Amino acid sequence: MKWIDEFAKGSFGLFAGNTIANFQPIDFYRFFPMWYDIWVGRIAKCIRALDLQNKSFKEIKHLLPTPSNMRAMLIKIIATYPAWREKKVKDTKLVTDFLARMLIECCPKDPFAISTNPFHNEDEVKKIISNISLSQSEIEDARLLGKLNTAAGSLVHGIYNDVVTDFAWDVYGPYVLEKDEEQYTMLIRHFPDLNPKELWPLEFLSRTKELVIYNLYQGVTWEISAVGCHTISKIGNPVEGMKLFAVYGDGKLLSETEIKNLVVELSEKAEKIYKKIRSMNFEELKEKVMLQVCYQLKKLFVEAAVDWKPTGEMIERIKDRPLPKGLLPNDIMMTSVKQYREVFNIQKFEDEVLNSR
Amino acid sequence: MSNEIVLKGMGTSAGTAEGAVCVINSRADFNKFKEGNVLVTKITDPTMVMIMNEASAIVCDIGGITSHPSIISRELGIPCVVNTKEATSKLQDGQKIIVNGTTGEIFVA
Repeated sequence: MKWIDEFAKGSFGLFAGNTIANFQPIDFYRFFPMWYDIWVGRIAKCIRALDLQNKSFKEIKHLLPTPSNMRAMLIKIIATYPAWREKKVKDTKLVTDFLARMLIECCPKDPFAISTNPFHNEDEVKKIISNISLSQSEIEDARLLGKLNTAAGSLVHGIYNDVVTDFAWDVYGPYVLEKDEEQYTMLIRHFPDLNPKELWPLEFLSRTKELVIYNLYQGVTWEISAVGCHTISKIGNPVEGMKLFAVYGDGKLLSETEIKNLVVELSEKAEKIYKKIRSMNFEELKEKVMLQVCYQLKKLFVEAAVDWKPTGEMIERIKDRPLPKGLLPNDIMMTSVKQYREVFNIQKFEDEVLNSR
Repeated sequence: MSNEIVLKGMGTSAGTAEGAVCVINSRADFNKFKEGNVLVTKITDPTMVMIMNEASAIVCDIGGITSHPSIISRELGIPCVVNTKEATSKLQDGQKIIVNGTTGEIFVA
């Protein structure tokens, strides 16, 4: 399976015109190499224990995170691999090939989100449309949903920081569909876990665990890129172009009043949790980031009867230690796929890991 | 547009908006923010959600296309320019500016 070229094209979008110094709350591209070899080894253990090499995405999708999250995992493994303490070539190949195959199966039209995140096929989209209760959208509704996205997205940035934002904020589509003889483009904004009790006390978390926002547009052309959870409107105004919408919290259709209340709740929690993060010292932040990373695959680890939390060995690797220097340049802006492949060690990874026997 | 360019960065949320600058250096500055102001800060974070919801545009010293201000601006449908490097030092409270989130240019209004 040769997936790395498409992966490079898709993931470049995350760094185009960006420098990694912008990621918060710590420079995790320098932090991950301190312990990622152990974590990836544990993922490989789960894959083997459950015989996942021989299972399809459909069979195991309930154990996996969102597609954007799987893409982001690949980026972090590949970029940091050259600096790992122990080069677990077989485990790393097993894990990255597995994640790539899952993406190819769940988003066959654009597995690495070069311009879309097509997580649903045509039949699934039709089924969604027939099952949800859509309301007509006025400009004020579109603005309210913008605020809801802002509030939920900001809470995600608090709960998961920039570390695994993609775990709890994905956007699927754009899906072109027909409803009542009108043509629309649909985006599905999905916040699968706004309430991870394993990571933070309840006072910082939303009372709603899963939020799904369905937006149907006319006259707006969308691109979803940069691992998949990022939307860019290429043509048209998203506020004026939104025609139909539905918002579901934990499976229940939310009214306008409930949406307004949710905006306030999520905004207040986002502010509260970020203040907490700012009060944490370097040692606390390192442990929190490690826990956030491990949480992504909790379901898979639990199914394999492997403890999902950081092990003593992982914690020992980071305790009272500064971040290593020199793996990736903090201040160089990525301007081409070729430069990105070199700086982010993609070619090196292909040579050393994917082409290994 | 023939107005004078005062700054250039990376446009990460398309569109154009005009407004008075409000520079936010810390939480203590939140109270001076008025609806329709252009939010100018080093980089936004989740503590700024309330004022971001009231902003006509966002301008930041640092950031990229997937940074917090860029993502949120696209969701709100307001222009955003990041990576200007010196917006917080060059722009002043009350100054009227035009933000072009498509080209990344910031003009005197």
